[in-house]
Amino acid sequence: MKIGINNSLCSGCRVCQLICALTCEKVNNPKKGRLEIVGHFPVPGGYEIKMTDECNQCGQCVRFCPMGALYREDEE
Amino acid sequence: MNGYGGKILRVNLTSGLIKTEPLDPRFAREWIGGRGFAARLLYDEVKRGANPLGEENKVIIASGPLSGVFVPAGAKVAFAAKSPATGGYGESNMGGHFSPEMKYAGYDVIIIEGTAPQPSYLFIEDDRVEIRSAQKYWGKGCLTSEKMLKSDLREEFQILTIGPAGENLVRFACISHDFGRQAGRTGMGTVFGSKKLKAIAIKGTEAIPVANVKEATRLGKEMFKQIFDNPALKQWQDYGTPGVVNWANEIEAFPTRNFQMEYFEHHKNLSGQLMRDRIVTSDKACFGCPMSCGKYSHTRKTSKYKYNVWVEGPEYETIALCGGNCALPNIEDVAYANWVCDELGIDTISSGAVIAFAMECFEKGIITEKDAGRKIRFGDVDSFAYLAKKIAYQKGIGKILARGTRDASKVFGPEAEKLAMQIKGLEISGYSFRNALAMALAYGTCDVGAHHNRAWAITYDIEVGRQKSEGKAAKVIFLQHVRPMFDMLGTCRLQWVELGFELENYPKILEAVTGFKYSLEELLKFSEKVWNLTRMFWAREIKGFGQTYDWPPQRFFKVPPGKEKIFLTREIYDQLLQEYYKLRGWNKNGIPTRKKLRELNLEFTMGDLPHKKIKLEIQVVGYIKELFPGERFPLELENPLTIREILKRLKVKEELVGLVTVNGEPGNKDHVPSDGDKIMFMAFAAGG
Ligand code: SF4
Ligand code: SF4
Ligand code: SF4
Repeated sequence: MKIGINNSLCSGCRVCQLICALTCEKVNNPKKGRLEIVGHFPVPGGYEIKMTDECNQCGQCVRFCPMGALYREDEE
Repeated sequence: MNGYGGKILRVNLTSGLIKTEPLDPRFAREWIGGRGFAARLLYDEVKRGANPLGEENKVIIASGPLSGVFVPAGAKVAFAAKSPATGGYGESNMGGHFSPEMKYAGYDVIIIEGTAPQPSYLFIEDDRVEIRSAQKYWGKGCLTSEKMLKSDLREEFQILTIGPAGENLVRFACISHDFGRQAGRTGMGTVFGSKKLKAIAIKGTEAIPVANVKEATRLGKEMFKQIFDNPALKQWQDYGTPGVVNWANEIEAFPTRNFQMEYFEHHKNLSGQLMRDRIVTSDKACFGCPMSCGKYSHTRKTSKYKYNVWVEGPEYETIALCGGNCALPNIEDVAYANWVCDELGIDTISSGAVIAFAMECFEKGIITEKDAGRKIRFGDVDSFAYLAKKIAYQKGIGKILARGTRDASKVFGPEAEKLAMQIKGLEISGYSFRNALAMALAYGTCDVGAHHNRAWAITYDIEVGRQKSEGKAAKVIFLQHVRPMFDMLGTCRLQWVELGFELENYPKILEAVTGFKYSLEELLKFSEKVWNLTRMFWAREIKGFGQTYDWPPQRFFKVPPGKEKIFLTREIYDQLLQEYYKLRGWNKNGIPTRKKLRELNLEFTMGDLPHKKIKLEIQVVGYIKELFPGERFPLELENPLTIREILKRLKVKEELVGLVTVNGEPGNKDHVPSDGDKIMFMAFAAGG
């Protein structure tokens, strides 16, 4: 599956990093998540989602992203 | 240690000494984390009579066992210190990303002691901890200095800063984090300022050990699912706390013009819905939170609005206190006022209250144009910004207002004192309560001064009837125990408050994460313990502390203009308060009884009870009377003792005493008699 990104919906909650690290590395450590969330504050605000090369497109982060900022491209 | 960072970091800014101490598992089991750790450590470590702005005060920063793990909203951290705003127990709770980061760096608690010789900041990257110069950031606003620190270190550092108000010791200065989250209340930023601590930057890279990863992940997923399936989630994600602005006006609980009224005629211009359309640019969440109640906003300069700012918020409380209470008529003005406060580093709640107080004083002629340096008007955002800056820099009238409403009003005189909307020295937050008896009691008895969300009881008032008093004291106590549970766990409570999330979720996941088994009742009992401990902190620190500190200002007992009647009266409030004390096991003056303190294993606080000798009347029946000083005699005790201890003191072998009665009722030898009790000792076969 291919993962789509919509930065403008991202709330910076980092649930994606947490679930990715738990799924792929079995550790409770968002720093081990295979994607990064970068904030752009105070101006203009908002977040940027960066997938890393290690991402295997398993889709766990999509299931738990509460904002729909990550989505399955094949469903769009 | 599962669920914990495992260490306490102790930083002494005077000596520059940095130490880590292992977290004691027994301490963790008993005080859980967050607010529990903070309250206990503060009680033990800050000595009675400490000057809140002195070297001897400490800031305890405490994370909780569910912070940073896979649960919804494991994001909350507690800051506690003796409060410069109130002189009593000071604590503020903050979301964002700081709490999890502490745990990834291995720390459950950071204790800040002493005062730095020059402006400093604390740098923490896992085990590397340094006190660094903050000369470069000193004098800069909260948001500006956070941005500077992020550029100087790296974006992924989580940062706390204070602004000019904290540096200048304004009593309601806040700690700012993540460009818009604050530990706002009770002057925690002021204590940072007094310690010359400008900022803390932290980054942690380690995993949090979890007792049962599989089970914790399964439960975590279930909790997230429950939230995703909740129909109220969307509304919350869209509007956040400002979603209640219209409702608060409909039920007439919206602070308006320094609480003179409870309905604001321009409230529709301040609603969450309108705000979303007009100024919100994106959503912003605390760590792990699917609800994203943070709204990031941008107001543009137009012919109608003068200011161009980016700000997180405004949140409901800011809208209530800076909006309605200062009568700012549109959301753009409120957003600007919010930004001014955030950058200066003052709590938007107390600031809105203090400025509204000044506006009313001006309206009533208590302060003049000459005193203030210009005209001060309700509804005028420039008056607001002008006063906010005067306060933050302690200039002109700001020097007086920077003390908060209680102490500022004392300077302005008795007429002004009537206009100070505070309890225990803390300004009242965003829900007026002339027609909400449970909310009135919740504010009155709140452990930090008048703050709404330590027990947000107003929905209960609406549900059961606002004028009713039956059951309200018990409900307030229940709410006052649920909230600390979340604060101890290090999670947000809004999932429970707003989405009706089951409380039973928490002991289950706590066990999977920490390996400690708790029942919900047990967790709530720990909350009760924390509540009583903080009450004892007040009793210890404030001479003459008691029920007079639990009363709202007179204004709340008066019918506001345009209304015919209100439900809150002095008689009803008095009854509620006494019922509350009784249910809590406190005496009529609102001080925990020895019995209660023993029940909660808080014996270590007993020496701090207001000092009073205990006078007992002793009577002895039967042949054992020869062993006593007499058949009937008075006995005075300095400290409460059990019957067993009393016998020991009288040098009578307890085996010889068969029966004990206290005021005619059979008593056992572990009973602690109170002042005025009549004790009778009988031999085994008295008279036989
Ligand atoms: S899709 Fe990639 S980033 Fe998402 S959970 Fe799987 S590995 Fe992690
Ligand atoms: S991508 Fe989704 S899960 Fe990740 S931080 Fe953004 S909103 Fe949260
Ligand atoms: S509900 Fe709001 S305050 Fe609570 S954790 Fe989520 S974003 Fe933060």
